[in-house]
Amino acid sequence: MINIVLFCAGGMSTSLLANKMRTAAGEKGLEVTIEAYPMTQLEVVGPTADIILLGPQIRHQKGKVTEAFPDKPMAIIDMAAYGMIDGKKVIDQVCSVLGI
Amino acid sequence: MNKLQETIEKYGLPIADKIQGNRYISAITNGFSMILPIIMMGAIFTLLSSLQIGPYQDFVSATGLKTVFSYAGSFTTDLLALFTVYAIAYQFTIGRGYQKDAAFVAPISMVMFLILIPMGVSKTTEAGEVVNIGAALSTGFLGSKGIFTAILVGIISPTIYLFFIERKIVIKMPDSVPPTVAKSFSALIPGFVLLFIFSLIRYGFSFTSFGDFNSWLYALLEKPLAAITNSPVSFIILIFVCQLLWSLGIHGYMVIRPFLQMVYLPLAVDNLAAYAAGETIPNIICYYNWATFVAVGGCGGLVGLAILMAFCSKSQRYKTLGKISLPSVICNINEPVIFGAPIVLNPVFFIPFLFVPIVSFILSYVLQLTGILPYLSGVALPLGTPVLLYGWLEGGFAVLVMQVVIILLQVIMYYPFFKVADKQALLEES
Repeated sequence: MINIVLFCAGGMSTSLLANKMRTAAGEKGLEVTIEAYPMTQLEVVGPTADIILLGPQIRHQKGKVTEAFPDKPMAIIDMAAYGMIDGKKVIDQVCSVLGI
Repeated sequence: MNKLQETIEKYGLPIADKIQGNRYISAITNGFSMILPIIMMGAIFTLLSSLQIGPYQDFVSATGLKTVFSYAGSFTTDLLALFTVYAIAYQFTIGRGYQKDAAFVAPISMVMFLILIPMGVSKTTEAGEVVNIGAALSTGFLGSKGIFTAILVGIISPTIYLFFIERKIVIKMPDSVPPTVAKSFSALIPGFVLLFIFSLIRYGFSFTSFGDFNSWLYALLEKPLAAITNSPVSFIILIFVCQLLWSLGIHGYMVIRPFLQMVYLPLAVDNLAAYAAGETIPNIICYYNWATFVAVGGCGGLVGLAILMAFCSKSQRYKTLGKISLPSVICNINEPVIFGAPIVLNPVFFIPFLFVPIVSFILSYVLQLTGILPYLSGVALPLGTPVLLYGWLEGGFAVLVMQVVIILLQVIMYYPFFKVADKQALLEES
């Protein structure tokens, strides 16, 4: 089970994406949990994440994530995929970061 | 274009990160987010008791529900500073990396805030007699007027506290004592010093003509602050910065929000208090002017653009994006349009994206000034509240109509630029 944690400013727009990602992961046969949170929850939910994804609009906060969790895989969600709420593309991105 | 993007990534992002990563600013922002539920709960009850619909008012007055609904406001928005100091102290301590101490620092900071407020209230009766009640705490500075003190104490008190913790100047317990108990003992020395310092501050101010710390700070800040808040220019500057950052793909609102909250949230609380009491609403610009008039459909005013994409597109790409994004922009979530159109680093949409919110704001400001539109009630609403409903709850039917006007304005202002982008997309598709 891969725990994917998404962050954006308020956890709203990423939650739209999280829904689409669940469907896409299901179609791919991946066992995942995907949840979206506001950035303020970083310290709280970060420790259990297998991979952390940041919305492109808060990519300037990448440093904060790498500082808090230096060993965790993390990625900035691709802008175009984010805009089209393309769950499949983002799942592909996750797979390529995790190498699965 | 790539070069521009590289330059921005190199110089722009660190600046945005500095503002947002600043421990004081992020403590204030996160603190306000923490008390948002309290603000909203209070606001909903105020709405329930004061909603200006004739038959509804008759009903709640007759059943006594109006009185029941009115209690909540006095203990939520009217005591906002009290919760603010707790929340900011808590978030500041966590931000400094002392998660376990936050549970002690927050309530201790609340004590420091309270100690600055002298006991006793006095009132002049109708007969001209002055009545003093010694065993009472004046609520005057516990609400919006005390927010600045709350921010200061919420940062200074944890700073002093952590000074002792970092240098390990604490009472140490043997290892066999449970950690929670040990922590409460380690809070004693810094707590004692804090109490002494804040008591001294209070004692010192009792000799001044102001009488207490809050009155002094308020007198000090009132004039410059009024100069900022009474002028629409400061609001326009905030809009401009926000839009500029968004057009670089950075969450601009998140960056300017601390300033918006610090300056305009207390004004919204004042408006709500006046609205609940049935008095004239005092402030023309408050925190909620942003979502009501500026960011109709999220920052950039994107409902109009989403409508254009959904219904006037020739290209498949924008037709699809319009269908995807329309429901979310109606709930003020703008990211699908921002990154899907894209608006980020796209010279085509730069001009309308920058000016639509500014024009909408100026128009609404002028209409408020001339009395055509009412001042907003300052009701705190969840971020995802759909447009139109948002306007109606903030200021009644007139504001709902204004939101419709703003959406039409968005459609008109985005139209020529949308046509260009749509044509480009169509060319790419064929």
